[in-house]
Amino acid sequence: MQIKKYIFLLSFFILFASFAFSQKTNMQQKITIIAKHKSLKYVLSEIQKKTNIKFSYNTQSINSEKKVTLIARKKTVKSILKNLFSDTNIEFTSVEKQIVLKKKYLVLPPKEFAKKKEITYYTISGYIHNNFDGEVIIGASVYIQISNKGTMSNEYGFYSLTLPEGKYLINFSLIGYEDKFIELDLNSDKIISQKLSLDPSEIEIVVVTEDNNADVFEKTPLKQTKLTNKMITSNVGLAGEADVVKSIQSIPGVTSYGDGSVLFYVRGGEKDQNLIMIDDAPIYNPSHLFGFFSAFAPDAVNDIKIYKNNFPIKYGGRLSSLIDIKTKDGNINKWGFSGKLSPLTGSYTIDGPIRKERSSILFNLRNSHLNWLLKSSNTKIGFFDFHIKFKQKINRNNNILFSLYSGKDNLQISIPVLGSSAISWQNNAFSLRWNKLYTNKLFSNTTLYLSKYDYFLYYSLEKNNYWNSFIGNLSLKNDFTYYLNPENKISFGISNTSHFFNPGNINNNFFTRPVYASNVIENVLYIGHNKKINQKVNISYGLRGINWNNIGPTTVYSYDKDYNVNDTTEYPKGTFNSFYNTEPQASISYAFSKTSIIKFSYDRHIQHLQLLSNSISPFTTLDVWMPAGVNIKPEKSNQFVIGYSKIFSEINISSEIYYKNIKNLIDYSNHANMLLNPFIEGELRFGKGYAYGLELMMQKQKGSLNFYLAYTYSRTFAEIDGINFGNKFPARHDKPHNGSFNISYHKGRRWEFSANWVFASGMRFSSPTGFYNYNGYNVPIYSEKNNDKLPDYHRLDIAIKLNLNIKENARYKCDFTFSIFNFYGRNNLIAVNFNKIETNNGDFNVPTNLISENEFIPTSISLLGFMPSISYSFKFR
Amino acid sequence: MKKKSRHITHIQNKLYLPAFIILVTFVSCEKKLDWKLNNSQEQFLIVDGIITNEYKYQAINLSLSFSNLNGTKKIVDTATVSVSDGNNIFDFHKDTILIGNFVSDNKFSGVINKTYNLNIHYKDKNYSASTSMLPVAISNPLPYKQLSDTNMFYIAADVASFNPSQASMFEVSLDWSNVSGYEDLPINKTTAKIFYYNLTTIDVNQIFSPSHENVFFPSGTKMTQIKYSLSPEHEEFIRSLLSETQWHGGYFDIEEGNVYSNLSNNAFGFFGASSIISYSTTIN
Repeated sequence: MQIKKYIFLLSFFILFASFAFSQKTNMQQKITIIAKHKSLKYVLSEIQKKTNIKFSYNTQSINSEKKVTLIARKKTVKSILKNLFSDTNIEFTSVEKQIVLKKKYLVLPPKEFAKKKEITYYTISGYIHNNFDGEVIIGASVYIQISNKGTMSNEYGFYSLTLPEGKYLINFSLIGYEDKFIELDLNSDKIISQKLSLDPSEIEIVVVTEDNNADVFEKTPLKQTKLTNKMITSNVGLAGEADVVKSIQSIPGVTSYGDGSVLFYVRGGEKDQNLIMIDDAPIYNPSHLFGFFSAFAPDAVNDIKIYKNNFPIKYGGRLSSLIDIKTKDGNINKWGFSGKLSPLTGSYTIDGPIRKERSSILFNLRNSHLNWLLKSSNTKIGFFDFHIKFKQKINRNNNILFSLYSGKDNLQISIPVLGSSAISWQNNAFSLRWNKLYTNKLFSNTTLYLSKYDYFLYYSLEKNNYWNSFIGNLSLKNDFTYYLNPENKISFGISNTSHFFNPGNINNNFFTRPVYASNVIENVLYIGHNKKINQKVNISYGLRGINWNNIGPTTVYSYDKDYNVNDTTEYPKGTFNSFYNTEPQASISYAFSKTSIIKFSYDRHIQHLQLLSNSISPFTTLDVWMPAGVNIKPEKSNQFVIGYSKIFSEINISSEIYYKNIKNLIDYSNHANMLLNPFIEGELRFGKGYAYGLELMMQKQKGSLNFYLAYTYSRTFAEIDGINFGNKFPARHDKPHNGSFNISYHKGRRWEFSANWVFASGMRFSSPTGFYNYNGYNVPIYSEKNNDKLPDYHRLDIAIKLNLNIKENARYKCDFTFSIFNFYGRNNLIAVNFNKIETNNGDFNVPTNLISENEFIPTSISLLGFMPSISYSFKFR
Repeated sequence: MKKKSRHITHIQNKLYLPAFIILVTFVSCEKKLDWKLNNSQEQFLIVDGIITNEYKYQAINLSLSFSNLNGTKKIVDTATVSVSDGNNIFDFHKDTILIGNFVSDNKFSGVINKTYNLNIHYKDKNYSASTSMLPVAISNPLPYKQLSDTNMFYIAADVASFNPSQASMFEVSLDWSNVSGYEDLPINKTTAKIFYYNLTTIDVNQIFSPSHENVFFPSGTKMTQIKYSLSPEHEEFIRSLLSETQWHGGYFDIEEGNVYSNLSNNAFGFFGASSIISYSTTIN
């Protein structure tokens, strides 16, 4: 049989060789071919009809009945075939007017061999990088096709795969990159790092075969939502500025506050229940200009993962979501300079190797140039953010990463005689990470981070008098991943964090009674296990243990049942209050096929840090963070999720149903005084909340036409002692319907068109059900809390991008983007008021003369109407 | 210890932070709106009364709430009203001149540091409130300034400012009905009553409060300022009242809620006791 096959193949070669000097196959012919779920044989015959190119292959080694899907418009035969066979073990060779298909070399460990002697396992491990700039590739698949065994690269690009001794064809792949196949005789532990090249034809052609490389349990959108830099920058933001947080707000289950805001709510959680990490250090205010821009420059971001449940076990401490932002590494091969200029901001990046292939550095600076908008030179408005990332490969087993993020906002006004006042806030996050490979199976990351978020309200810049609040953290943690075998991955680790607070005080002792908050030491121990039971079933479970210690010296007030202070305790240095809590999580997934999966999950989270704010503004304001302690019990949530996802040839769909309950949910007394109030904890009210919802998502990420369609139906309720007469009420962010539709189209390499439409039910609020007159004031009376809602929100943004230099290897590239925010100029309301009168010139004021017969008029406030802008991006390398 | 008490030094500050407002003005829009309120037909008793240290017939105003935004104040004319100070009971009767007012049968003056209890019986329900009187601190009257290049003046103070030493209320009455050129105008065009406050707390919505009506008055206007002391509960009521009226509608609003009251049985308003000082002048 084998001899026949060889004779057959040999005869083909001889036949082709005889024509080799007389005729040539034109693989540069461009054709259009669309075949969905057709046999390979059919597709080849279609190509043959259109090009007159013949195909030769051994039907015994190549399964021509295998179903494939191919969509290619005006593409060369070569690029079509390259993509058609990229996910397979078939290779093609052009010989004259024929193309020969043959199977790539592949030998599996013979069963007989395995039976005869004891099986020996070896591990291959290494890092996966982008061939272009050396950036690590997160989530790349490392896969043995025939055996359906594989793994994915972690957040540092590291992978580890343990297999029985034998010969393998290993496939490294990720959408958007050219597949790479490595033949390997595995007879010892191997370190194999790979560089994947960007696939130049990826955006022009779609090829999906029934064989799909990645592990269905890993690639499912039920695990996480991933946003790449490309996805973020394709979203239109305010004034043409791509916006990291706004991109997150289009994900199902994420409810945005609205225009001009970076506040968001995930599955019924509060705005402070989202953990935002940048290179493993937390950020507490992701906004610039109160929320008109997000705090992260898109140019500096490599990858964002959003988890709404089942966070990676090493993360915790928030009830609703984890936003894990990883910044870009510097180019390890070449120095480059890039930037983006828009009417309101400029962003500039320099990166390159310090030592080629060994170390790199990246600097990114974004700053605003808004002052041209202001007529008065007395007013200054501005912000900047700054990233530095340094990466050093020490040796095969050790890498060091240094990351620094600093962002600051400053709004200042000077008034003659009175002096200057200002609002300013800044986020600083520094992290130093050490990746160490102890063995081929044991990967460790040690992180030292320091982060601090400060808020300043200067009421005299000249005298340096200010109000300030801050939260800071210093943490050392060690995360380990043990890749036992392709079926078992164990994560475990430990961390120790010091949290320090200023819950808002004036710097020069105007108040002899300051606002106190204790500092905290938090210890965390965790372990998680991911087990692939068989090709159909995957389970994952883990447990985090948290020890939270409030430490003195500090002063703690006690409150009676009416929230009046009835005792004061001075705690000396040392621990005076502790909480011990656990965060368990578990999930089980069942794969119906390689493309469809159902997943059940449960997770419990504990939150010890709270943002105390009764603001209903879309903007971030005078933030005060407080730790759990004697008067504030940690918030706790339990979440149950059922999800289903299916990957079709070009489209992914997923749906999830969730139920979440929250204990010790915080609300506030009516008109709670949150500023400079030493008894701020007495303004808090506690209760419970619950949320449920259905999330649907459809996504097409391949080809020239991409889209993202998301819809969420959700409800969120709370029940708080002393609020709304103790009755259940809908949360302010209870917005049942949320949807977004993002579509983009690439016309060749030069033009890109995109549009984004978002829809949401209106934000809830309490509208008066009656009024009374007191001393001339028209005072509202409220009955049920959040009994009314603002009109529905919807907005369309469009953008057109023109790439001016489209040569593949051009050293200088640039593009112009013309965008329109709020294309049809809808007035999306952020507030409705009932306390204003109209002046003679059409303005709306609050009346002060209380013996006038004032006629009050309902008024609405909206932000951000029709706003066109143009931006220019460039890249030089 | 009550939660609103403060131990503070005697420094007064004002915050001028219109920079953000300037920024937001570029991108925001406020419009008139048709809005259908979920009106309730339920009527609540409203109490508006302050016992002062003046020897006079003390007055308490009673009214009912209304359901529409520009509804008219509904008068209560049949109720039993009395105030006690622990030793004496002062009965009140319906005022025949000012409808809705109940005046004490006899003149009396409130005494500093005494507690006063209000009892009202209205439509088979009893309502009560308790308050105490603090001394008022002597201070300079609120300043006024001349508007550039005009003969008009204005009170040079914010509606509410931060004064950690003591909470107080200024009732400013202005009357220019006798000023030449204004005699023939209707009374509501030639008089004004404006309240100003010193509060021992600062609120975010206070700092970023919306724009207010400007009241200008000519030279020759008679101005009377009465300064009231405010107990901690009274200050809490005022803070709450301002949050729903004078500070509401800006860009940093806080959650809506019913204004604090010291009245029982779901009545609204406030029964207070204040010592006062007054000051009168003619603007020129």
